[in-house]
Amino acid sequence: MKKLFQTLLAVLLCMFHFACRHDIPFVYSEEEIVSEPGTGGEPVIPGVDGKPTTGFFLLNEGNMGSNKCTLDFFDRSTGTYHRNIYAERNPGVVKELGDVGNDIGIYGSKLYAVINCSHFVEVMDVHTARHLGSIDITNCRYIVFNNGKAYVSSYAGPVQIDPNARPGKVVEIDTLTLSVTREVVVGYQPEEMVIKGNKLYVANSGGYRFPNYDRTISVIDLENFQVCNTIDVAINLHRMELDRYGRIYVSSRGDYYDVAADVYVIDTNTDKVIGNLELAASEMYLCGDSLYVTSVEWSYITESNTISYALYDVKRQEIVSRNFITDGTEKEIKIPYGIAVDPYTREIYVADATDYVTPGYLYCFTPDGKKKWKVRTGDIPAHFAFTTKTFY
Amino acid sequence: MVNLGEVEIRGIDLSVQTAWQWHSDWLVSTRLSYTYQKAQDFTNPTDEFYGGQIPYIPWHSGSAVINLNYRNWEANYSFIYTGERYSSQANLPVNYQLPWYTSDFSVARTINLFSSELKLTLEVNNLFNQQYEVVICYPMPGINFKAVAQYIF
Repeated sequence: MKKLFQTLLAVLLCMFHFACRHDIPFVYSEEEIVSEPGTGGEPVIPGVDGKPTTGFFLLNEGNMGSNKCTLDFFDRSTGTYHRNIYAERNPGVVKELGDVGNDIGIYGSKLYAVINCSHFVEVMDVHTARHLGSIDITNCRYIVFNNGKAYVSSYAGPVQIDPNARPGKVVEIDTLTLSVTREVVVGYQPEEMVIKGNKLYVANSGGYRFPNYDRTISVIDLENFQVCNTIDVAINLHRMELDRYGRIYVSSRGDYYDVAADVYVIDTNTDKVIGNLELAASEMYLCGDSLYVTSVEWSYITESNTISYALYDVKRQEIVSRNFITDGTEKEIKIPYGIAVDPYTREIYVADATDYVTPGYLYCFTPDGKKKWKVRTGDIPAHFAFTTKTFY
Repeated sequence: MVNLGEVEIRGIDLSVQTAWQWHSDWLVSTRLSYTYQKAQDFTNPTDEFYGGQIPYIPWHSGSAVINLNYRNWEANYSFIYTGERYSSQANLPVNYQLPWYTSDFSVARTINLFSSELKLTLEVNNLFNQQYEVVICYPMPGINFKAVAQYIF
């Protein structure tokens, strides 16, 4: 009996030793040299900012519920792509960046990342990506800046479809103190914003209230921070771009059944809808007078995505091309999820989300649409912020 | 969760069961099991992560259970081990999941009541309070206690 217990005890001790559990391994950033070191270029719009871009930050959203929002940086001066830099530079931040990074922007010397499903805006130093502070905003979506303030749109409710979901809000933050100064209630599930003069325009999607989507753009007077106008456009509004002629391009995602996606044009001098482009858009990026558009349009009727690319000239007011990628690389791209154009070199960046659960890819194209390089990113690469500051 | 197109799983399942009777009052029974699995995603040969171990399948896993019976008393110790895994078929450090293992211990007493049996059990689960997640972002309970009354009639 004694021998039996001794044997069993020995087996148990062996198991404990064998099954030793280490600390969670540290996830380091990775570096990949993707191109020749880059020099400056000529600005597309002369005089804007006055400094050439030194690179860009890419925010990977991460699949919802996985806490895998990550930050990458492309350093143009060395041609190096740095993947997943946040954890390494901020080892003291619990749970790293958070769940679902939805927008990123640079203002002054700070880098702001809107972490949608973790309900805060992460504020970092633009030179080092080190944590400076954070602002708690429920279900925050997009960010814009003006005159020392940051404006964040928020669904102001839990992350779930709800036909009785409450209206959203726009929150004003002081960029020096990182505190909320004013808030205003807008339409349902507000998305992207643009600022013209002292007016802020926000696209209301009403996405949680399916099938009763919101159809409006709320116009906020930045003086008294009240809604001064509401413009009826189309259902399920999402993205906005403002051209230098005072026109806003706002995308409508349709209803995924019979109502197709389209892009509507609003004149900010009259706050009226002046037309539509007959272009489906999931992503838009305005560089100079060129509006680059990618679309992944889902249809429940065909149970498939329709992927398209387009280039629209805002000055001539016509679609210039149905494919700004000219060497066939678009056949490799599974789900174009993010697009950006370097305001100095006009190089085009397209992010591919692939299957949303494994790492995506970033493609760099020359201004005339030929592939320059491709690099692996984090999960669901999506949002870009070009920087003119040095990164170290 | 995600559906995979084509996978191949190769492995071994081993288990051993024993029982010892000592005098008429004591019974010790044990069960040891071990599984090795090489489970790979072979959906798309052009995918960078072709051949990766599929999400959440550990290479090594196993368990050990020891049961001791003395007249109306019963004591049980069970140990479950799940080896290292990845939460994605992209087997990258960012998706690495540490091995986890738990120890559960219980003591039970069977009482004859009205010509049927009442069994009272006290359990201590996750005895060493290991913090772990089976699926990422869903923490599992640390040390926890249970009292169970079971009447069979």
